[in-house]
Parts: sequence; C-alpha cells; structure tokens
Amino acid sequence: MFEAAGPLTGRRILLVEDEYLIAEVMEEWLSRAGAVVVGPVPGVAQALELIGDGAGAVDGAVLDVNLGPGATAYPVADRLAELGVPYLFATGDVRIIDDSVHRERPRLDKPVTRPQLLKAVEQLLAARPVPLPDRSSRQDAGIESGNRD
Amino acid sequence: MPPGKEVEGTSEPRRKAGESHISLSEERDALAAENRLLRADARSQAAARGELLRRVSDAEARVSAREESLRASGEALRISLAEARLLAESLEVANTALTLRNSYLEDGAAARVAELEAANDALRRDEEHLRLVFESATEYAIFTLDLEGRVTSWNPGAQRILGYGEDEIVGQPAHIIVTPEDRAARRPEIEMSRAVEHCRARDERWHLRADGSRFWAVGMLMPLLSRNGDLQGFLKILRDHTERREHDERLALLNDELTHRVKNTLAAVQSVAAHTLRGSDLSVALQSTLVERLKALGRSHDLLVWNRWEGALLNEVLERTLEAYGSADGARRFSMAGPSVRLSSDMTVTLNLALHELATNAAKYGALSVAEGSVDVRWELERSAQEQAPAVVMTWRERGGPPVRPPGRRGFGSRMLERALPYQSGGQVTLSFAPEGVECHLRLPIAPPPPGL
Repeated sequence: MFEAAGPLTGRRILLVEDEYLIAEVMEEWLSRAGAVVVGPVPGVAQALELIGDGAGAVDGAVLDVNLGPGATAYPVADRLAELGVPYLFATGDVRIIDDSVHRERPRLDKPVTRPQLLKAVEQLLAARPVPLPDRSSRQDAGIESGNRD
Repeated sequence: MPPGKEVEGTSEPRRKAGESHISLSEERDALAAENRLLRADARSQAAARGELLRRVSDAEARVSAREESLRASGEALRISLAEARLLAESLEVANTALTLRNSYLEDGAAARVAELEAANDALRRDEEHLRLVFESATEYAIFTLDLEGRVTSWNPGAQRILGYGEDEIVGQPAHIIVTPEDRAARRPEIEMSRAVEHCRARDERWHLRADGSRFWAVGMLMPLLSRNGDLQGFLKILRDHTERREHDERLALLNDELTHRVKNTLAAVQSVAAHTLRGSDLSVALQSTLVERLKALGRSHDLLVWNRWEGALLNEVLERTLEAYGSADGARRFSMAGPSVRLSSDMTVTLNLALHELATNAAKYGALSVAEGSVDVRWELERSAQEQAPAVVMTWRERGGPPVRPPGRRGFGSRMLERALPYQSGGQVTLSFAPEGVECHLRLPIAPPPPGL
C-alpha cells in the first residue's frame, strides 16, 4: 500500500476538520503517506478527548480553524501548545482573528492539495521539539504564515 | 368641826325656844303653808323636771333625727362616693383608651407622614433620574411637542443630533426637522394619529439637521396623557442610525457579492469539470455523475442564498432535491410529510448532497427507475430528556421499484449518508437494501441556533 517508508511513517497526526468530505480526503492522503491519523473529528470536545493527557497521543496536528457556527479550533491549539505538540492550521478563513500566538502558526489556505499538505506536515514534524509558545520560531518556508489581515 | 357650824348649832335651839311660844295651830298652819309651799315647790319641781325630761326627749329626738339624717346623708355620701369612684374608674378607663387611641393615631399619622415623605423622596429621585436621563442621553434626541406640534422641551442629545439649541427651537413647529417630502406626505400627522391609536408610533426616515443636512433616524413617538387620559402632547425619542444604515447597506452589498461569487465559482467549477471531462477517457456515466454532484452542491448554496445564509427548511431541501425526479407526465413520484424544521447551513449542504445520492440511486436502480415506483419521505421531531437539542427522525422509503440487491461496494453516496451525515451532525443513519425497496432511517440532532443570531 505504501511506496516506501517516508518521514511520516508511523507518525500520529490529529486531524480536526468539521467538513466530512475534506476530512475524508486529508485522512486518505496522510494514511497513504504512512501516517497514523488520529480522528478525524469535527469538534473541539472530541479532539481534546483524543489528545487526553498528551503522553504520546499525537506527534502533530492539522486543525481547521472554523468548526461551525461560533466554534473554533483554538482550544485544541492551546492544549497542543501546552503539551509542546506542533500543529498547523488548514483553513478557508481569510482572516485569523485571534491572538498573535495563533496568527504566527504555520497555515495552509484551503483548498489544500495533497503535496502541500504532506510537505507542510513533514516540515512540522521535522522541527520538533517545539519551543512553546515562542513567537519567533515556527516560520517554515513553503508554508504561508499569517499576518494577512 | 368647822366654827361656822358651831354658830348655827347654837342659834337653832334659841329659835326653838322662841317657837315654843308659838301656838300649835300656828305651827300647823305654818307647816301646812310650808307643806303647800313644799308641794307647790314639788309640783313646780315636777313640772320643771317634766319640762326638762321633755326637753331632753326633744333633744334626744332631735339628736336622733339629726343622727338619722346624718346617717342617711352618710349613706348617700357613701353611695355617691362609690359612684364617684366608679365614675372616676370608668373615666380613667376611658382616658386610657383615649390616650391609647391618641397614641395610635399619632403613630399612624407619623407613619403616614414618613410614608408620604419617602414617596416624595422617591418621586424626587425619579424626577432626578429622569432629568439625568433626559440631560445625559446624548445618543438620543428626546423632546416633547404640544398638540399643535410645537417643541416644548429639548434635551442635549437632540441638540447634538439635530443641531438646534434649546433656546432656538422651543416654541417652534417640529416640522422644521422633517424633510419636505415627508411634510408633503403628512407623515408627522399620520404618526401622531398612529401614536394616539397604538400608544406609540415607530418611524425610520430621513430627518433634517439645523444646517439642512440629512440623517437617517429611527424614532418613536408616544402620546403624553394627563391623569384622566386627556391628550396633552407628544414625546419623541430618536436616534441617528445613519452609520448603522450605511453598515447594513454595505453588508447587504457584501452578501449579494458573496452570493454572486459563490454561485459563479460553482458554475465555473462545473464548466471546468465538464470541459476537462470531455477530453478524458472517463465513462459518460461517471462524467455525468460528477456534473450532477456539482449541480447538487450548487443547489445547496441556492437554498442558503434564498435563506440569506441562515440554513433552510427541511421540506425546502427535499423539494429542491427531488423536483428533478417527477415522472414524465409531471405526476409526483414522491410524497413527503412532516413538521416544519429549520436546518443549519452545514446541515442543509450535507443533507442536500446525501439526499441527492439517495435520489440518484433511486432514479438509476430503485423506485424512481420505473413508472410505478414511488418514494415516501416522512419525518418528525423528537425530543429526548438527555439531549438538549431536539432531533429530526426521518425515513426515506422506496416502493414499487425493481427488487433491490445490496450493492457490491459502498460508493460515494453510501459514504455521504452513512459517514458524512453522522460525522457532521452527531446523528445516526442506517441504510437498508431490503428487496422491496431501499430504506434510509436518519436521526439528526437539530443544532440550536448559534449564539448571537
């Protein structure tokens, strides 16, 4: 099923995305690259449950920002930052309106293609361990950083 | 023996010696006389004694009478005294009662005075509050009019919003802040009569400032009534909503632009897909499946556009999805029944895509593939104690189609139904391929409206 063991092989990636069709296709791309997808889940509560106490539950995360009316993935991002787990946002939102910590995280603009997603996740994991939450780091080439608003 | 007696003793015998010379008759006569005298004396003494006794008796009688009268008056006095005491007691009781009553009255009066003073204070405070509101509500123009429509009071907010000072406008007809066209349409008069009829009249229209410029005002006109209900004038409160109106207009413009963009983007995607597929070696069936799915997605967004991006009604979603599947003669091939249920935007899109898959499947293989077949859709609202939000429980039932065989593999349609719908709604969906017709049972929680809507 996999061509060869790549950088994502066996890595546990949390996927939080409320749109099923998008979650399904991202899950497939990540699985085919050898990653173990945790989820996907559509909401904050399910995501926090999967993260648990954080002891090796996930190695990285891909988060949609807007999770339906009034809900965002920021509580998940905060928890991951606490645990030192790297994450990126994959979002269709033109603005990320929250604080600068979230604004300066790596971000993918939807629609996301397969190579874009895999490259971004590889870079995310390569940069471990992550100093948390340090605003000067985590600016990877190839991933557009925030500050568009 | 005293010497006097001695003398007398000696004289007696001498006289007797003399008397011895007196004759016996004389002596008898003397004795008789003496006896008479003595008798008379005795009589007079008896009379005197009788007189004395009588007097004593009289005196006794008088004394007794006096005593009697004294006793009687003493008794009377005693009775009077008792009566007097009783009277005094009852007077005292009455006095105590009166004193008590008096103190009650005094207390009552004091309490009433305190009450009135408190009410007075409260009124003064209210008046002060109202005055503060009137003075400090600078975001609101608050002014009063008399029955002829002349301004009778004018707050600082009115001055700020409309530009006239209190001195300038009090006594002036309020028509000067009304636009000529509204004056011509007699809108102020119409609003006054509406206010009298309905206790208030709302208006949203342009007004004129002192400098002649216009602003968009949202206002309320209320009648001012006397205690017995006579109309005395009007109270008008208005706000400058020019910015709000501009904001709403911008929002409407953006909404129209967004709608236009979404529809155009989807149309462009359909076109690009169609052109790309035309040159490909994909089967015609597969090509049309893709195009139909994109069209279904477009219909989902049409539904949202019609509802100004606030979800859609379940029956609307069904009608829209199934309208393409009427029979050639126009007869309806499907029936539906259920209460009015509003779905969220997300649910509208996902359910519409899922229903499109069911309908497409029915048209290809199921009840809608033959003239006799039909689809029945029923739903109801269910509210369980544990869940906060109600759920819609829906059944899609196909009848009259060719015998159903379960599909060899689960395709996109099955995934939309069995995975996408539960994933996005938290509900349950079961799809069964019974020989007499496909059945789909859905239980979808209806999300409460998001905060702020």
